[in-house]
Amino acid sequence: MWEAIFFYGFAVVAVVAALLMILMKNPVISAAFLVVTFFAQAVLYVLLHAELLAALQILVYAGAIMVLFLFVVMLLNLNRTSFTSYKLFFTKFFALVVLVAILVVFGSMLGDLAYENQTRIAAETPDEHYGYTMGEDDALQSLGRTLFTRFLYPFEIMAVMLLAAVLGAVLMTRKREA
Amino acid sequence: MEITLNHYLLLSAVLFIIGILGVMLRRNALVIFMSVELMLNAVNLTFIAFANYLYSKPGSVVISSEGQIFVFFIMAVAAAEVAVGLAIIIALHRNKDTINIDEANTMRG
Repeated sequence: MWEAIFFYGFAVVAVVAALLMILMKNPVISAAFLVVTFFAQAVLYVLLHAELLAALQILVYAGAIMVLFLFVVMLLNLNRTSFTSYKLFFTKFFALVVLVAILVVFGSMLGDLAYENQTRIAAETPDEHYGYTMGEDDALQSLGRTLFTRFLYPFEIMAVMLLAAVLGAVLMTRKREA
Repeated sequence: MEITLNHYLLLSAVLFIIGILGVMLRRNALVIFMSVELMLNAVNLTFIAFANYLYSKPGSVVISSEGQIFVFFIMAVAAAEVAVGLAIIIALHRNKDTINIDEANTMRG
């Protein structure tokens, strides 16, 4: 019941915010609506028992990537329109979204704790697939074990790739000496 | 009223299509870039939904770590992609003084 309410609520928020993002003229407003979509998706990740990824979604996407976007928008200074009329509405709107997201995260934590006290169901074949049963195994432990055993090489390659991306970005934005 | 895998797949498809529309309709390079991010996120949602429902049976929720780790990697790739892509946009703006992609029609720097 609650799952359905949260799913439909945040699915609508995600879709409407995504639509508004592609329809808004001003890139700053677009970026703001993209953040709303990311937050709504983070709530859906929590519903799907991916609490770590929900946290990462907010940290990496809503935090790092969106700051980078806004930084570039303001660095390029494309439009000199004022935001005074939007300001109040958006602050209140974001405050509400953040509040609901935090409540959902805490609610799901309490729900998981309650789940652990129920009857424990053993995993069918825990070694066959790298997975974990809710309330049986520790989710973070299982993710970490998989990441550093089976996916160790992709993990290392990812580190090299991030370094290459940083170097590439610096190289490309450097001013050329004539 | 139970939420099934299909609900999440449908939502993910809708978000992906909105992303495609954004790429095709807008001419602002930044908004196109945001639409690409939206599409990556739609894929992430698919992965996490499958990770939740793949091994689960009625009465026991088994979550696949593999599906979630894929999302991990996609997030890292998206971060790298944003860094490089925004650098390209800044370079474009420096050269052409616009970020309208219709005016970026030469390979010459």
